Amino acid sequence: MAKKILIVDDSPVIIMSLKQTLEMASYEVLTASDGTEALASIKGGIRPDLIITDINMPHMNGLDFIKNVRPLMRFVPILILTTESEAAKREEAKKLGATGWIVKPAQGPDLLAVVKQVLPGA
Amino acid sequence: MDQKLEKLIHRMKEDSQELAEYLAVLQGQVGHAAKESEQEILSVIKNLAYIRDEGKVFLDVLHKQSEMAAKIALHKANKVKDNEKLLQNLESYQEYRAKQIAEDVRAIEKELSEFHDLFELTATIEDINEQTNLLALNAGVIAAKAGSQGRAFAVVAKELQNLSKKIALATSSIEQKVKNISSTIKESINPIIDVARSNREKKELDVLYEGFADASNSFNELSEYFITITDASNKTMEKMQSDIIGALGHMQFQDVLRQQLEHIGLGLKDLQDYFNFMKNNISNYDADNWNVLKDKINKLREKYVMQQQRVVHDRVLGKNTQQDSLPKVELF
Repeated sequence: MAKKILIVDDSPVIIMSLKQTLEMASYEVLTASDGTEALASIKGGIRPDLIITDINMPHMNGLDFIKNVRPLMRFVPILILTTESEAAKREEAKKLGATGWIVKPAQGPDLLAVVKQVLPGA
Repeated sequence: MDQKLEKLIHRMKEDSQELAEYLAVLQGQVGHAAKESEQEILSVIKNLAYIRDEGKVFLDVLHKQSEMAAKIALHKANKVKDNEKLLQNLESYQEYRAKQIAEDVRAIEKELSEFHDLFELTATIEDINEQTNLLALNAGVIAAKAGSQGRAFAVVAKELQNLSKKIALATSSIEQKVKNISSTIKESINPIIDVARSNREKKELDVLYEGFADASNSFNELSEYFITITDASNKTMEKMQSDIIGALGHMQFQDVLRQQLEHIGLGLKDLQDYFNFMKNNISNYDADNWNVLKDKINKLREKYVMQQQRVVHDRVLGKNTQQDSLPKVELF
């Protein structure tokens, strides 16, 4: 059965680009355009095996989303994909329970390698 | 306030209004550029997805067709090989038959030789029998003339006649045997005819054998050809997918560009607000409460999220800021 990956980003280009890349690697892709929508989907019952989220988004940013989602999903890996490059922000994300940090633009092979690393058996 | 200064303030108020409009136009243009680049990139991604899907459908069809064709070709090649084996068996059998015929021919030659000997023998026997019969007849005549003295001779003559009859019977038996031999010879001739037929069959078998061998090679080549096509298509598709994934990665630059343009838009908005403020407050200028543009530039720098933006900002202002040393990908 294909592993499910939830992409949370307000950029339709990022959503489309990641969706196509991950689907070509045989993953099932779910999408949300901000933290609020993603959180609602998770509360609604979707169970992703991995979450890839942006930081700077309207309504609920990536860091707040992690803060809210961690109590619901303690062991699901969460990767941050962002243009943000500040060390302080990285540290904050790490403390909130993020699994890793990827700076945009992320090349397909690099992204797929990280996804494989954090999704055992994928 | 003298007239000249009033005129200058009026001109500055007008310029501030126009500058604010000018900046609003620039903001609109920047926003539109970000939106338009997003739409264009989305179209490219859709096209790439379409190419990927079409390629997959094409490859699936090609895969199935090639597999089926390769299976058929292999099946036919195996069938042809079976037929080759059958032909080899036929050839072996044909060689066996040729040997048997050679043996039959040798037997016929021997029988013919014996047949000729028998003819000589029967001719001799017939001569002897004629002589014996004549002798018996003469002995009978002489015995009759001799009267009672010739009685014993008559017995001998009678015995000679009996002997002659026995010889006749023996000769008849020999003739029967000769007939039998003749019949055997006739039967033996048939395989000789078959030899000629077998030679023709052999030639035909050779032609067939070559035909089957050619067909078998052709089917094997065909099978390999389909396997090559499938392999090449798989490699092409893999390369195409890898190129599409590469292109999709590069397209993320639009999100980076969009955020950079958004920051430029924010800067322009700050400037617009500044000139609106200037327009409204230039008449009653208060130096203590006047907005300082330098603060706005510093605040703009604080809003950046990319080190690259900070590097460019500082470079323009004559400062040297280093690029990020943090890795692009980091697992905690």
